[in-house]
Amino acid sequence: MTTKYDRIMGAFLGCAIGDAMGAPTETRPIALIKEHVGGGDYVRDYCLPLPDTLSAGQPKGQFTDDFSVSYLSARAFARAGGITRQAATDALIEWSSYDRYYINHSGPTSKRAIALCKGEPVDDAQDYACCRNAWATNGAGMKAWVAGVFNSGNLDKAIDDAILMCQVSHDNPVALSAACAVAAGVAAGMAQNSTVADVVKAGLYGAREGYARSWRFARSSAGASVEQRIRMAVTIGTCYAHDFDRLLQEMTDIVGTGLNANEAIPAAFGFFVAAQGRVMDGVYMGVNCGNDTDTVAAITGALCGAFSGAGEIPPQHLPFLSEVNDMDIRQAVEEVDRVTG
Amino acid sequence: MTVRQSKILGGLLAAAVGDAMGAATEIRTTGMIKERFGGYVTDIVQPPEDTWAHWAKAGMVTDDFSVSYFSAEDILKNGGVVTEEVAAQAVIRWSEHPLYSQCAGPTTRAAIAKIRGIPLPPDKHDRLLCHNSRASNGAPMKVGCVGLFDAGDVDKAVDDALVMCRVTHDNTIALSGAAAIAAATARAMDSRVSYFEVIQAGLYGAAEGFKRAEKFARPVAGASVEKRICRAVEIGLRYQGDFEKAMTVISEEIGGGLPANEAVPAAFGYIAATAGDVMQTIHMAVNAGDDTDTVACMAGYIVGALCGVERIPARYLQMIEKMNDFELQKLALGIDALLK
Repeated sequence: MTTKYDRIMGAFLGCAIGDAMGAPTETRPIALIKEHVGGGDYVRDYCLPLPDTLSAGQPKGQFTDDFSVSYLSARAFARAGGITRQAATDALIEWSSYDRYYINHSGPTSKRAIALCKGEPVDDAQDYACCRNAWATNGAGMKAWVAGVFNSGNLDKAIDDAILMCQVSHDNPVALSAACAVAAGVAAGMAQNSTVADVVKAGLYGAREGYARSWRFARSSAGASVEQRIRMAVTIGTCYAHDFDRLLQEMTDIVGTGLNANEAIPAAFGFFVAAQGRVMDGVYMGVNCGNDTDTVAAITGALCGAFSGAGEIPPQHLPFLSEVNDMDIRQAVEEVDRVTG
Repeated sequence: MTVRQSKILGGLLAAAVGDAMGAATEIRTTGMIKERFGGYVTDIVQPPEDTWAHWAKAGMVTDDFSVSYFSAEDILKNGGVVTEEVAAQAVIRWSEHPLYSQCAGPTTRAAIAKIRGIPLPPDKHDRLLCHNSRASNGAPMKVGCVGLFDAGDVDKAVDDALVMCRVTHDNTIALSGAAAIAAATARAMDSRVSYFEVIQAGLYGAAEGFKRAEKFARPVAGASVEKRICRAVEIGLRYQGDFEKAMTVISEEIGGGLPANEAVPAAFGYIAATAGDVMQTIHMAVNAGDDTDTVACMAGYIVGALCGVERIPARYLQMIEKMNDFELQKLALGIDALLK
C-alpha cells in the first residue's frame, strides 16, 4: 500500500525533479531543446543551463520559482497548522529574500504581489481597467499542488485552500481556476484507490469550481477556459500516449505549454494521462514539451507523484536535489505528513 | 465603383469598423460585455471608462487599424512596394500621433524605441534566445492592408507580410500569424472566391510564413498558428448558424487574447462560423471577449475584401472617416490604381 507519507514525498519530488530538470530547457521550442540541450535527443537528466536562458549561471539541479515557492509555502503552512492567507503571504515574502530565486525567476504577477505584500509602491497607472488579462499566468497553478497535498480526498477544501493560498499573488478567475484544478487533481490522487480518471475528473471540477468561486471576489479576467483546455489536453494525452514525439508536438502546438494559466496547467493534465500517473514518464514529457517546460514538468510531476507515490522515483534524486538547493526536502515532507494527521 | 475597388474599400472599412466596434468590448469577457451593454454589441458605441480605449469617442479606432492605415498610406506613396524602411517609417510616424502612442502594445513599444535608438533599461530577458511573450498579435493586426496591395498573389503577400512585420515582431510565431492574415486577404481579393479558399490561403500563409521566417527571425516556443486555425475552423463549421455556441466554444478553446496564436486562429474560426459574412464575423469577434478589437480588425480585412463594401452599412464609412480624419475611399482608389 502507498502511504500518505509516500504520496506527499511523491508530490514533492515530482515537482522538484520537474522544475530542476526543466530549468535548462525552459523558453525553447522542442526542436531547439533537442538540438542545443539534449545533444540531438530529448533531455532526461539534469543539465547545465545555457547562457541564453532564464536559469543562466545556475548549477545543475537548481530550482527555479516553481518548486522553491511551493516548498517555502508548504513549510509555512506546516508551521501554521494549515493553509492560511497570512502563511501564504509570509512564504511569498520569504521567497523574495532569496536572490537566487527572486532575481531570475520572479514572474510578472508574483513580482507585483510581493511588492504589494511588502507595502512597496507598484505601477497603478492601468488600474482603471476592469480586466487585467495578462495576469492570468501559471504562477498560481505551479504552487497549488500544495493545497492538494494538505487535503487528501477532500476536493472542496482543496479548492478553497488553493484560492486562499493563491489569491495573494494571482487574484483573477483564470489563474485561480487553474490553481484549483491542480489542487483538486492532487487531492484526488492522494486518496487510496483513486484512478487516473478520478484525477482528471477532479481537475475538471476544480477548474470549474475555482472559476465560479473566485469570480465573486477576484479581479476579472478574460481568457480561454482552463476547463475546456484540460479536455483538449486530455484528449491528446489519450490519443498519443504511445507516440512520444507526436504527443509533445500536438500538446505544445494546440493546447500550448506557455506562461498562461490556460496553457501550462491543461498541458500538465494531458501529460499526467499520457504517463498514466508514472512520475518520471510525466516529468520527461514536461521537460521536453517546449516553452514553459519547468512549470509544466513541475505540475505534471506533482500530479503524478501524489497519485503514484515516491516508490518508483530513483533514490538518487532526493539527496542530489536537497544538496544542490540547500533544502531539507525530507523534513518538509515529514512536517506536512504530521500536520495533515 | 468597380468590383475590385469595392473589395479594397470593403477590406479597409471592415477592418476599421471591427476595431472601432471592438474598442468598446476589448478586455472584457462575453458575460461582462452583455452585462455592461445590455446585450451583445452590434453597433459602434462609446468605449467605457474602464477599458484601454477609455479615451476614444464612438467611431474612433485604436492601435490596430490606425497603424495599418498609416502603413498602407506609406506603402502607397512607395508605389505599392513594401520595404522594411517604409514599414519602420510608418510605425514611427504613427507613434508620433498624440492619440495612438498611448495604445502601442508591449512589443511594438519596444521596437519603436529600438528603431529610434532609445536605450531601454536592461532586463533579465535581454539574454534570452527565445522571447516567447513577443509572439503577439501586433504583427497580424496591421498586416491586412498588404493583402490588398498583393491582391490575388498569396505568395507575394506572405513575403511582404514578413518584410513589413519583422521590423517590430521578428519572431516565427508572430510572423506566421501575420502571413496568414495577409495571404487570406490577398486571396479574398480574387473574384468568384468563397470563404473556403480564403481559409485555405490563410492556412497556407501560416505554414509558409513560419517556414520562411525560420530562416531569419528569432525562434520562439509557442502554440502553432496553423494547427490552431484548423481547430478553430473545425469548431466554426460544426456550429455554423449557431452564433452563440460557435462564439463561446471558439473563445473558450482557442482563446482570443494578445498572443498571435490565439487571436489569428480565432479570426478564422469566426469566418468559418459565419460562412464569411462581413457583419456577422465582426459581431462575433466583437462579443467573444478578450482582445476583441484586434480579432475583429484582422477578420474584417479578410471578410471585407471577400464580400465588398456594399455589405457594410454605408453610415460607417462616413463615421470612420470623420471621427478619425481618415480618407479610406481615397486610399482604396489609390491602391486600386496601382493594381494591373
